[in-house]
Amino acid sequence: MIAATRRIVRFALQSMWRNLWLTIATGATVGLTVLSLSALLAIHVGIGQVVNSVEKQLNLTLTLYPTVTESQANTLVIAINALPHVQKVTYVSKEQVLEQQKQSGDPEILRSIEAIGENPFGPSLIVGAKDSKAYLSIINELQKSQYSALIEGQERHFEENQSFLQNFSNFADKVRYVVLAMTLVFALISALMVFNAVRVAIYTQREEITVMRLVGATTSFIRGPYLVELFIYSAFSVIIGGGLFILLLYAGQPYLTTYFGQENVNLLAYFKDNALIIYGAQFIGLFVLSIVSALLAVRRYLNA
Amino acid sequence: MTSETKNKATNEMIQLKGVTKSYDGKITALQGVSFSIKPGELVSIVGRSGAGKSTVVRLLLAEERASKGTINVGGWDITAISHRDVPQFRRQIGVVFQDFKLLPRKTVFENVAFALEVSGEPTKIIREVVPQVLNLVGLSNRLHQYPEQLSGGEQQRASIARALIHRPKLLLADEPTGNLDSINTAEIIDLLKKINDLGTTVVLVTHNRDVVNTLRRRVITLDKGAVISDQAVGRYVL
Repeated sequence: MIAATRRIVRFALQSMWRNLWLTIATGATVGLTVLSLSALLAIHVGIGQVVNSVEKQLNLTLTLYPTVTESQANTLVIAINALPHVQKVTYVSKEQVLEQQKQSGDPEILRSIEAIGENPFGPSLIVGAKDSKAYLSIINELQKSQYSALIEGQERHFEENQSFLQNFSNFADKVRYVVLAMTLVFALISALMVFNAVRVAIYTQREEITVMRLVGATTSFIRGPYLVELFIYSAFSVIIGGGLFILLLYAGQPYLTTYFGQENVNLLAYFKDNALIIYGAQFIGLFVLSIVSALLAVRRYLNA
Repeated sequence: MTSETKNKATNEMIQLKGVTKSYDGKITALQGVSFSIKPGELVSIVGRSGAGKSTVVRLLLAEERASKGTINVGGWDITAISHRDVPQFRRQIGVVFQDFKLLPRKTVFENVAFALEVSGEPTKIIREVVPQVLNLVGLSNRLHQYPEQLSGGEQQRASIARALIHRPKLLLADEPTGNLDSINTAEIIDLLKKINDLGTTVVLVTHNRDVVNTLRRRVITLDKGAVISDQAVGRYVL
């Protein structure tokens, strides 16, 4: 068994060396597939990060009536915090609101404040949710009559917000679906490229498979070297293609940071943190795909 | 090896009984062919193109199954042989083809060694035996050449060396001189005779009249898928 395995490995390495151009062509195809898959994943993750960052910047400001006391506002804060998908609720006291308005420097507002002679503003709450869709459910909850005595302009403002959030949420969903669909289509194309590369590689050796069979080689002895070769192709393609892509990210991340900010889009960090999972999955996927392609191709010539 | 497919009781090296081979039930390549070949014989199977010679070879190699009848080769009932047993069966017969069928990306040594490697022979034995057999066929100075670097005659000798490497009881030569000139043809036939003299049963499938007439051994003649003559010391009569 050990001797047979050693022979199979030797035949595989010998075949790769002696079919160098075929090895290079097949290896390059599989390597480019890894590079393409990494690029697709980067686009998928990058766009997701951009959409998420925009979602994070969204918030819902609830203006409370000036008569609302701090205690009532705190009760409301607790109630909102208890809602699902709420990430953060910030309480802004009426004094802080007044200060913010004064600092805005709008002469009309300043004149109005002076004319009234007292603080006309009520406190406000800034609600942050986990994603854009969550705001819609939060708004639905806050539209209940129990909050109408606390939240100013409840109906009108919420309708405007609801419409914007609905549109944004739909847009974000569409972007995600389009990117996912593109990823799947290109992943399918990549899979077909690998499938074809393996079949062509085996097709060029179809006569040899027939000869091996005629001199008494078992099916496993014929298939064995191909499986070893495909293991090597998959491993090296992932190492070289993946390594090259990480290097590209090192070069490209500063530009992404300039455009989107380090916290919003950081593909390099994503790929570094998840390298084992991403490239482990790519290796397993490629290896399984190429094995299936090889077994189908070899079977055809074994039966010939 | 299953008891159903291996029957050591038979005295014949090859035995065909009422073998018919048809394709899709329409084209009949062989029709009720029966003959037997004893161990140690050198038999030529001759016939025109389309007579059924190649079909006989494919059946004897278990590449195809007979539609009717039984075939025994070296004690194996190959009409009932399982797919799993085919490699083991083939390791017990040597085969030489018209187009040599050498592995192009292996050296002469590696081509011959391959036949032993597939049957799990230890490397030490392979390193000893392969040069001996290559020496026997006159290729001791070509061990590390690739098939494309050899002449047709040399390639056929390498092919014979590969067929002989596991000391088969039966050597099946399918048109071994078909791609060779007259000098190489004579050398290959001499080699086959020597192999036969050493006790190996040799079945020579050919349509080369001169080869058959020079041999003056048993000749089975096929025509239109049937045996039309079987002479102990025969000539090419077609």
